[in-house]
Amino acid sequence: MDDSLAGLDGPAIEVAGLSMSFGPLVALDSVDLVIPRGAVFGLLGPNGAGKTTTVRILNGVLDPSSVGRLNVLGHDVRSEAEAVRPQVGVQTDTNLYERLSARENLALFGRLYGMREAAIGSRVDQLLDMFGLTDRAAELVERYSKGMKQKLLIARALVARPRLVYLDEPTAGLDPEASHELMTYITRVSREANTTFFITSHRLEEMEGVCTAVAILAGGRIRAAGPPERVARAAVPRVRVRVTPVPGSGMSAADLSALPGVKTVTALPGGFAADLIDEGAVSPFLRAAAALPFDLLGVAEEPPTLQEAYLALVGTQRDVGERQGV
Amino acid sequence: MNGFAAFARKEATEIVRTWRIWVLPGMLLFFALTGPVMARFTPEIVAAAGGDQLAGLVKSLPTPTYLDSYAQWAKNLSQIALFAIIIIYGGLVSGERKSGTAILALTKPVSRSAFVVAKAVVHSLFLALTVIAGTLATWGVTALVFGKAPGEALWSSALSWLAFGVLFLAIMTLLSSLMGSQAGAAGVGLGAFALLSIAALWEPLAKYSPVGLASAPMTLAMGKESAILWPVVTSLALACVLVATAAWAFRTKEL
Repeated sequence: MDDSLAGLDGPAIEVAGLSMSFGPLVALDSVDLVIPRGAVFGLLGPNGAGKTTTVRILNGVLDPSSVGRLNVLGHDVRSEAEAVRPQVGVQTDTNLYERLSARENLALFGRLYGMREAAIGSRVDQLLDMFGLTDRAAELVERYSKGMKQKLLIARALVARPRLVYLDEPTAGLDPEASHELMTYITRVSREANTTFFITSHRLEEMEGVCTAVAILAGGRIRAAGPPERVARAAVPRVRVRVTPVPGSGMSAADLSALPGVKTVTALPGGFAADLIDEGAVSPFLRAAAALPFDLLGVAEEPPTLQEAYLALVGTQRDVGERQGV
Repeated sequence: MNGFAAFARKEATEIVRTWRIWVLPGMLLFFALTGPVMARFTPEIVAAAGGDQLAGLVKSLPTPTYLDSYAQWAKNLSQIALFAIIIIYGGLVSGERKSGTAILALTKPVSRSAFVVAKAVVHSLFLALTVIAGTLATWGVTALVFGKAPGEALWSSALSWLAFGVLFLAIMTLLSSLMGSQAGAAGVGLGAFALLSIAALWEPLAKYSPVGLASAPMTLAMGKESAILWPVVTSLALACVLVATAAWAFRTKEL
């Protein structure tokens, strides 16, 4: 990953040359990651890409086959796991105690982190309220829906206000409102408390909105890493401007094709997408489009999305794999 | 052992919320209440069931005493309760490994040993409370139906069995740390019980090792003498070693 991502206080996570094999299967192949403190980092990739394996290694649950550097919050996970664990919250599989209530599950974790009973009570109330579980806080978790369990798993990871939080597919099973609240919370806590979030997800639109850095993992290797917009631009080398004329203005694709720096123009519902030759062509195009004899609702550059980048990179990887018979 | 108190509290809460709270104590209480009655009225029951055909047998039966009631309780503990422990606790640790909750011991600032030791300690206390309650019930009902119930034979029998029960709980803790399958651990546990029962036939071994507790509770319940100091001490010491080994096995096991 780009070293410019590392914060001034030293990175929250620093991994170099991380490899992991399960027999003949190579799950991770020379992975390098540098994640600054306070970042919201998204590890994106298809199923089987090695995301969960990465999280398990970073948690000290799994020993890597080989690694050059494996530092979390300034400590080597392999030799100083005891120093790391009190500072880390983890939400992974649905490993809740089903015969305890939501309140009891959260309180248990507060105790495991050595929190005082008084502090546990107020923190548990706060989290139950935040995730909308207060009304059913005394109910056994075995009676919870999947979405409620997911909320509780996330709340549990946050109980002790950890400095680093691992969230594995955190919005899976959540309704849109709860997903939005969670993303808002993540953004706020990362800014206010300098908490680092390490999120694995398939929900690229959500990740694009909340992550300050992402890495796309496929076939055990990092295919791209950096701020989402930079990853997207690097993976999808196109420059596109969206032109939205006033309905009935009579603008056609040919009117835009004649403007400077235009490669192609595609008609879309309600407007046009003009692909330009390079970044330098954007300003001249915008000026020329504004000068056209049509009333416009808007002219704006449309940067590539993380989803396009993901499909470009992971699709390429899959194509290569298929050609090689992998 | 960071986290011992938290895990112990969790374990105790879970006991109350699961079927264990009903099965083991429920079963023992049932036998504790019915055992003395069955012992007192055995001749009448045999006579009613067999009619004239068993009249000779009924006449030959000795008059039941409170010691028959105690022996019934000791037999229930040594067989039914012990099998229940072996079956119920075959998944004590492996159950949490399967459900994914055991991984918490690795990702939290707690010791893995605390996770295992808390289970063994809490369930040993639970077993002790259950056996004491059952023995109290046996004692009371025996006094009611026989009009006489000296405590020494009953309590020495029950408490010596409790040491044996704790030893088996420790064996199951270790087996469930080593093995993923509850049924597999229970099978090995039953095998261990069979071996101990056979080994108890060799008197020198029975006198100075836990093996002696395979038969001592019954002997004591019948009002006879049995040297139990060494069997009890070695059973409890071995239980500690087994739980420590279980904790070590859990520490080294990939979750």
